[in-house]
Amino acid sequence: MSRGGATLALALGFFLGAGAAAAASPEELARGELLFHIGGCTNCHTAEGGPLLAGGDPLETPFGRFYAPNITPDPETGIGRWSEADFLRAMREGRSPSGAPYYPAFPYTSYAKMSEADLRALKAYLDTIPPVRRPNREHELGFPYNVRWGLLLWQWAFHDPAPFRPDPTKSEAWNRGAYLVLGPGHCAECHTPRTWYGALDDSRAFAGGRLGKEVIPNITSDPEKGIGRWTAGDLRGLLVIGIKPDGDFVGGDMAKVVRNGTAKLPEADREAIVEFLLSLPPR
Amino acid sequence: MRGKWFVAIGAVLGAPMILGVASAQDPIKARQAEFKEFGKRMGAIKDTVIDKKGGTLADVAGHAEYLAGKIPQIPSWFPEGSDKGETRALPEIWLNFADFEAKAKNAQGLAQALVVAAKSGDQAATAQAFGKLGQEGCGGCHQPYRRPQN
Ligand code: HEC
Ligand code: HEC
Ligand code: HEC
Repeated sequence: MSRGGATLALALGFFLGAGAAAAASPEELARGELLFHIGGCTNCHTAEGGPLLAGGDPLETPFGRFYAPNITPDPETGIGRWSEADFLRAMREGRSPSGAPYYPAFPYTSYAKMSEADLRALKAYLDTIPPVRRPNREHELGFPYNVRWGLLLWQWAFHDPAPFRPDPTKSEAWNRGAYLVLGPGHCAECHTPRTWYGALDDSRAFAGGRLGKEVIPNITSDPEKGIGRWTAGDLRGLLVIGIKPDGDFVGGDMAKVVRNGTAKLPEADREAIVEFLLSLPPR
Repeated sequence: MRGKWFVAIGAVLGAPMILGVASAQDPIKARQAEFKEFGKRMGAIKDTVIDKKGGTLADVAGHAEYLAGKIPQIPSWFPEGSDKGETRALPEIWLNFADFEAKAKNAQGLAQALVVAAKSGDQAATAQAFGKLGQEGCGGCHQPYRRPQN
């Protein structure tokens, strides 16, 4: 056997091995797909009309312009070489395989609340996405935001990688809704206002505000400022097709959250979200 | 005597003209009332299709026909300069008026598709056509041409 052949065999063995380790049951893949939808990964990682998860359109933020990278299983330009542990670390700790911290424009601050089993299922599902070779674009950030290592301090101060803890005094459906909203659904990333240093202001959880040029509504149970006058049926209509009680439809980022996310959930999960949202204290 | 007749005829003819002028001067309020009715119709469709609480697919087809009939009028509700006042209409409408008209045309097509789906009696197809009309038809025009609330 020539040396080239041996290298090829080794390389093949490596990939086959990786494939075998990732062999997931159909149930796990189905769960991974559901988490992929409610996680809204395509909203940022797929460009309009571009290949699935091969890199997104620019995300405008007050800190500059971010380009969500290629997360298809392509070994060169995607995350095809990542181990499961690499993926878990990225989603929980917000660190790359080499230890570099990620910007919170990638909402790992919410994904960290996901259970380990769910994160594994999500990775197994991502492994089934067709690999696409497409190099990443550099973010366009001004100083000091372009100094990635500065994020270490931010993470140390503000990132809590603890998983979601169910509240035993609440119903199972409420806990499921809370998990979906606070974890994979990352609803707070938009609906909770931020402090000047960019962390979520939990004292004003889900009270809305401004995010770039988008106006984010208050979704607490406050009857004036929030959605306290909405019925469960009103919320269901919003989560299924994006219709509001006045017959108008949500637009912008929320339209994507509905179309790619909440509309694709099984009914029981949507009901769980409704139960949790209606219980949010007024703010 | 003849003078009085002229005055009387003038008053009878003039009144509607004056009223007509008054409502033409407030295209903003007039179109907002039309859009509110759109919202009511969409809400009624939702009650039937999503919440399954009353109404038949024939009612849905009726609401969709109403919308398909009205939507082509939308561009005529936006005379030049009617972005001043209590309105969420963005000035971009008049910078890209051909595109604004195309958005109305697209929405009209989607309303017609909803009529067809509802008349076929297929629940699932009706729900799908309804979502498409709302998201792509109504939402597709609000997104670029309407200011977000407050
Ligand atoms: C709100 C936008 C947004 C959403 C939603 C989002 N991401 Fe990302 N993601 C980003 C950005 C921006 C980065 C780059 C962060 C950086 O460079 O520090 C990123 C980076 C990543 C990385 C690191 C890739 C690399 O090459 O280092 C992974 C893995 C990832 N995202 C997975 C996911 C998954 C899985 C989901 C869905 C559950 C998801 N993301 C949803 C914006 C998003
Ligand atoms: C990327 C940002 C973003 C994320 C993530 C997000 N939302 Fe929204 N949401 C918005 C915006 C913007 C609006 C206003 C849309 C409009 O009116 O056109 C909105 C509107 C809403 C409304 C309607 C409120 C009203 O008064 O009209 C509800 C309810 C809602 N979101 C719930 C959720 C839930 C539940 C999640 C998580 C599954 C979520 N949102 C995730 C941005 C977001
Ligand atoms: C071609 C563009 C276009 C289409 C299509 C369109 N709209 Fe609108 N709509 C607008 C604009 C622009 C406004 C803002 C009008 C204003 O404030 O003067 C508006 C306002 C509204 C309002 C708020 C009215 C108020 O002030 O209370 C509702 C409700 C509404 N539209 C519903 C709908 C529904 C439902 C559909 C689909 C069946 C739809 N619209 C289709 C452009 C459109």
